[in-house]
Amino acid sequence: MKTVIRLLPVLGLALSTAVAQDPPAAQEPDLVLGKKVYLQSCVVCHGISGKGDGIVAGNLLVKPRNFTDGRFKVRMTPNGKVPLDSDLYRTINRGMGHDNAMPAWANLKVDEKNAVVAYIKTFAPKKFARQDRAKEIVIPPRTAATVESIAEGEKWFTAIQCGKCHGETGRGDGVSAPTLVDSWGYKIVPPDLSKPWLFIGGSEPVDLYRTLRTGLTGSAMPTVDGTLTEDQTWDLVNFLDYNFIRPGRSVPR
Amino acid sequence: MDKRSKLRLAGVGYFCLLTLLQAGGGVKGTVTYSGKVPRLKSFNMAIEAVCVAKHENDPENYPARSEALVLGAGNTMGNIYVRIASGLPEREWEVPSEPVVLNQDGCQYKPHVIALQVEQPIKFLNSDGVLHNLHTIPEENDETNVTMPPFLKETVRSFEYAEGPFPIKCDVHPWMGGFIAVSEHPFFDITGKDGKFEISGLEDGNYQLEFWHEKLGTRTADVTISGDETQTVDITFSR
Amino acid sequence: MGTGVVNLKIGHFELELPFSDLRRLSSAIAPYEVYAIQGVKGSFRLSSPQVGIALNGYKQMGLNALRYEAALVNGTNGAFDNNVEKDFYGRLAFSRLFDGFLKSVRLGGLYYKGMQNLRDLAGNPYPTAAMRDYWGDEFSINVHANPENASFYRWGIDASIDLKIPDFSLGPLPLGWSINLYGQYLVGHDDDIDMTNMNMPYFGSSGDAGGGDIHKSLASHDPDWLTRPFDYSGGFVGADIIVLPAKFYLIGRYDWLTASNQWADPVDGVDGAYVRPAGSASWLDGEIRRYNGDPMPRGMTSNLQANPDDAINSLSRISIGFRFHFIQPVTLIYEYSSQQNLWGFPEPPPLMYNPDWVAGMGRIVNVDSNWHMIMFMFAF
Ligand code: HEC
Ligand code: HEC
Repeated sequence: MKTVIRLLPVLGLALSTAVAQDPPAAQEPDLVLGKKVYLQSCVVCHGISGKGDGIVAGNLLVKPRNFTDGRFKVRMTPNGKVPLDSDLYRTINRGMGHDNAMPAWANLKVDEKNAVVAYIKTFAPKKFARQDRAKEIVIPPRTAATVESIAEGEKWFTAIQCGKCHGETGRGDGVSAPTLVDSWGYKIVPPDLSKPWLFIGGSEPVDLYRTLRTGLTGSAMPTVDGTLTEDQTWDLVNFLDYNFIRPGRSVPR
Repeated sequence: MDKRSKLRLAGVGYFCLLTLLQAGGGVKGTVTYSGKVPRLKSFNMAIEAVCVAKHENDPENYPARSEALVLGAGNTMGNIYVRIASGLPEREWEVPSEPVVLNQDGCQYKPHVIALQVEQPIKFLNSDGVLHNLHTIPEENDETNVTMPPFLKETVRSFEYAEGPFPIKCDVHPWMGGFIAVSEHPFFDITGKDGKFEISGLEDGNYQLEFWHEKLGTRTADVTISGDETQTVDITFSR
Repeated sequence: MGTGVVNLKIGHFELELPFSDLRRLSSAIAPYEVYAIQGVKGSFRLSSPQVGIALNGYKQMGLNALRYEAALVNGTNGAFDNNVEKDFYGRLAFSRLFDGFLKSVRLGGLYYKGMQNLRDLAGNPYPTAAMRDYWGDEFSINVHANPENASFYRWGIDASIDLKIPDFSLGPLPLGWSINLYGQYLVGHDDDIDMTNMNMPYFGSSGDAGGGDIHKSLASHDPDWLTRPFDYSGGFVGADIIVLPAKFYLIGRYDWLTASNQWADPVDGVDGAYVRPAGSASWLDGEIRRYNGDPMPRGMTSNLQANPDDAINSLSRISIGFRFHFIQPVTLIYEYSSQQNLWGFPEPPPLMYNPDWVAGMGRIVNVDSNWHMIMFMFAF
């Protein structure tokens, strides 16, 4: 009992951080603050006018995002649609993995993050005017990662030929890997699937599901939306999870 | 009411008008090329045995070459997107429900340049039985990048906004490139190898024709339509 | 939301120079000459680590930013400054970001003010105790280590401009050069490069003012000569080009330096103009030399025939190079430098009985040189 009581504040803290992670309800965006944060923290990479041509961009292999054409990789919205504010907030808050220069900005205050989200939207006003039509996809509950589900996922991995880019063993050495370029014309490298820390959209099962269902607009990585059903997508996620990302775990029967 | 159903309704509304319009004047002509004919890049498809085989069986197209410049007899130019750029009245045009078809065949897009109307369906076929990904890179429309694995023989999409030809590519096969043009009206055509185009059903008026080529840019020509006559506009791309 | 950083450094560190040595492709050749130059061997150089305390920082205000450092230090490597006087270093730079082709401009200035005593190569004060004893015991000549600290200063201005050439491609090779153009201008002044004092022994010839085989203090003779200030100015301009990020870098730089005067090998100059006119050594001098070699710092005796007024007083260097990281484990660095005249420390003359007595006076030598440096780096 004592331990429970002692744990309570810890729990409370965990809860409150969990809450703090969620962007609070939308209010009037503070563009002045947004611009200030942007000039302070983002401009060296993303550029004064948001074209991704900041002063250090020339030295980066993965170029900073060009905010003026509304293409964003990590989204809850269907392939090609503009992201939601919460998508941008999430990306800014947790960064984009360890394979590119985009840092995690968790140390900014919540209102600063919200303000900078609002500010980067002003670089592509036309595209973001369509934001109200960009509906969040619904993520159905995860299919249990059973032996069958994983086998099913492996079948899809092979049938879709993900290996063409990612390599048969997921090492990022597929036959097409050397020639991939992104939508801006820059070389892009498919990650080694067994190095989840490289993933730009996160490597938790829900993140993988989102990445596969919505694609990474602007990159060479295609979506399976229209190819696989939701259940089949979960099977594929289970396969990736148990085979590449966190291998060596015993599979529940 | 969403845009699609509004358009459909508008389509019905204009149906009678359009049948009338069909009877209007038109413009046709031939596009030719003048200048040194460059040697076009040949593609090394070694990473896709199926496609190599397809081309080997078709000696005329082996090795497969870039379709950046397609010339017929007398240097007539194919793959030119011709459209009425201005002069048309402001209105919503009927959208055909018949899809245009873009086939991925022998690891090439057939046709190389395709045009369709806003909201008109476009059916992508995969007759190669290998993984392609459909990656369109438009300015106005939503970018799409979807897998087209061997087991998916066709998929149907459409575009929301009119815009000039934008690239479609397949990341798996880096040489695969094509163009899609989305028009708000039905007055456009794409030349075949014989360089010929024809646009019909135009009301009386002054129009500007625009010719687009993927490398040589655009050329324009003015045309005046009166009555049922079909005007002839020939144009030459030179470099 | 951070708007800047402030660092407090205590200990042994490098000064925040406008262009860090770490920018160079390799440390093999071509240092920034105006930072590296020393008037006296083993003495102060701007680019060497210092002991002391420094406050530096960076403050951003929108597109503008300010960089600064103020440091109180006490001598290069902690070994060559035997005084308690602290040296001061200050630096201030202003930068602004721009949109488009021109990415940023930075303008700055630096100032260093120091105090220094002369040490010989072994790090002892000069003239050494042994020397003083020798002169005192044998000849009752009172030779002092320079009691006063000679002061010196450096000041400089610098600029750095970042440009981005729009992306273009060369065949299948996508390029988009990022170019950094930079330049430094620096003026250096040492109050007294010779670091000798008025009480240095002087050997006059018979025809000379203090002649008659009598040694006297220089104080009455030719003080100007002994407390010569040393002035130099120079700098570098260069371009660093990122041809392909993380793959291929190009560099090019031009260094130049002009010295107002320098330690020279007299003599045979005009009679009386130097400490000791050539060929007119006193008896005492002759004796000493016979047994012990030349006890005087080089330049005070007539070993070489050179007139300081004729000395070459400028040097220049062009350096180009690239760094190419072509496949995973292998990086190739190539540098080439072509230099006209060198900054050097001539070896002591053969007769010197203790070469360590020679403080090693830097001077510009008429030697041209070319260097190639090829380096393969394997990383596994
Ligand atoms: C050190 C360079 C750097 C800085 C500073 C930086 N970014 Fe980025 N950012 C990047 C790079 C590189 C990418 C592209 C990563 C990729 O495509 O894999 C990126 C991508 C993004 C994206 C695109 C996400 C998506 O889903 O496509 C957003 C949004 C973003 N950054 C916001 C910000 C904000 C806001 C700041 C300032 C608080 C900031 N960035 C600061 C380098 C940087
Ligand atoms: C056309 C080549 C291509 C194909 C086919 C492809 N991918 Fe990718 N994939 C990429 C590239 C490129 C990236 C890196 C994206 C980036 O960093 O912007 C990527 C990234 C990923 C990631 C990491 C996502 C992240 O957050 O960084 C996963 C997981 C992934 N792919 C899984 C798959 C699966 C499963 C398939 C088969 C359904 C597949 N990929 C098919 C090219 C491809």
